[in-house]
Amino acid sequence: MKKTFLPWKDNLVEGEIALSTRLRLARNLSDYPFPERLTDSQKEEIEERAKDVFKKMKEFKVVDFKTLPSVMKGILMERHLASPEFLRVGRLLIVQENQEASLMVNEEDHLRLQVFSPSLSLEKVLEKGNKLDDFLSQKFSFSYSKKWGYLTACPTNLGTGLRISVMFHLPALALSGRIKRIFSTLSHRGFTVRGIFGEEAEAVGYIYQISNQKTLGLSEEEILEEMNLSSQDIIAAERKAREELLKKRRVEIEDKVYRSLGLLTHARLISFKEAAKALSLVRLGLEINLLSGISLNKINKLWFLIRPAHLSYYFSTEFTPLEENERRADLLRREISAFQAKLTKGSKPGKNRVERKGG
Amino acid sequence: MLCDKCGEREAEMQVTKIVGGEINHLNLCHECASELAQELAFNILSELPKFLKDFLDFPLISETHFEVKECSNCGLTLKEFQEKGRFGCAQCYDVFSSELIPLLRKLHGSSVHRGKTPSLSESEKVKSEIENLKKKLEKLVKEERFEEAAQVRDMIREAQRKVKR
Repeated sequence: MKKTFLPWKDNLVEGEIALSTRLRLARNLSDYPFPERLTDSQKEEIEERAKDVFKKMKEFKVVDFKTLPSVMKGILMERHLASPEFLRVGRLLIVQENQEASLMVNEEDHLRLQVFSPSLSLEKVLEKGNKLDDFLSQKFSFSYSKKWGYLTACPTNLGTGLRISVMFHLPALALSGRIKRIFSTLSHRGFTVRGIFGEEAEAVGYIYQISNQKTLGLSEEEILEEMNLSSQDIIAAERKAREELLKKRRVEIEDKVYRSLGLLTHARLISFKEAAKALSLVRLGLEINLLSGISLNKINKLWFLIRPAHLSYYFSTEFTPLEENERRADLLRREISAFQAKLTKGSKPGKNRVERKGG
Repeated sequence: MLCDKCGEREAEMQVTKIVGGEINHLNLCHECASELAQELAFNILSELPKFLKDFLDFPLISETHFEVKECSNCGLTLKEFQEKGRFGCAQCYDVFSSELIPLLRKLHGSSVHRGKTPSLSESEKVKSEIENLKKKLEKLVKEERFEEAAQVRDMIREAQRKVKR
């Protein structure tokens, strides 16, 4: 990928099952109405103040959304540094160069601070979030009430203003159908489950985002602890489901994994959803030792590169949906060679047929 | 008596409007009253056709009271909040607190904050406020908005007095 103001970073996603952790803090300034009711000049005032605060901090980049090309906006959204809502209304984004933090100015709230970290790293994001929040609170006077905590435009974020999300890769739970029960337990415990792009409900590539629903009545540490317990449960359940799939439905899983590999290495047209699903199953194959020869790092990278804006950037051109599918297939064939992947421990041909004859 | 709104037609009903604790009695004509009712689109909107019908059947002075809950700072009405689920400003939390508490219990299982507090001390807060006001003053002077600038200057003096104390 050619050089960009946001260079590719290898560890945006890392680890098995729990891929990444994201924290968001919602804050409002006490002297202004919430963003929806701001006049243009008030918006500008807040944006100028935010720019001022970060001007001298070299590791933060001030991104002017008014003049930013849409491909760049798309890349920021696909890396979760900006929300889909911010792409519609946003005018000023502040991004840490190492992509570990971003600040959306005048989204639903005046300030929305996000902190990112690969794999399950709840304490790390809270520590960093608190540090940045304390820094910001020296610069701005936040809207805060002793009774209700940080006041937010929407009461669903009231109190701590804290939303912590963990991204999980749960193919075995999804394939075994057990995921529904897990999600209903999670929702009883006060968590929401969504697909990868926030508002969208559908899980692309068996990737699910789990977030806390409650922001009031619990301390930040308590929210974290509950998220940690639930995360450990989810990871254990996915591990168990993988073992069971291998034991009871091995051929079926091998078939899915190898077909997906075939798709990625031979398709001439492939949509984002289809590619995401195939990448997910190849990742599963690598993790349960059905496949080798491709690094998880490469899968992680491709998981971003197949998204429309990244793809556009990779080929430095914009294209129609059909062209997009063609380019995506090109990219995948280029990055994953059919000969590179090795099938390991697969069932031998004929073996199953003999077994069935006997039974 | 003439209508308080248009001042042309005869007033036919009295409307009580309560905004942020301030009570206003308005004497309105039929046209202005129905206009107002449509504008406000409040909770009892569903009852409106009946009340209008009754009113048409008995064209005598009738007294109708309805409460319009509205934030006096940003103008958000309860109805708007119920539709959008978002408040307009910090003051809305006080204005709509009686409707809010049951909602918070439902959403969060609690209506009391137990998390962190902003890390700034009061005097630091005032100091940063002064800095911001100074910037605002500069901007206003540059734009030759002197009346507003004078107000901001007074606010700076007041704040500086607070720090010294």
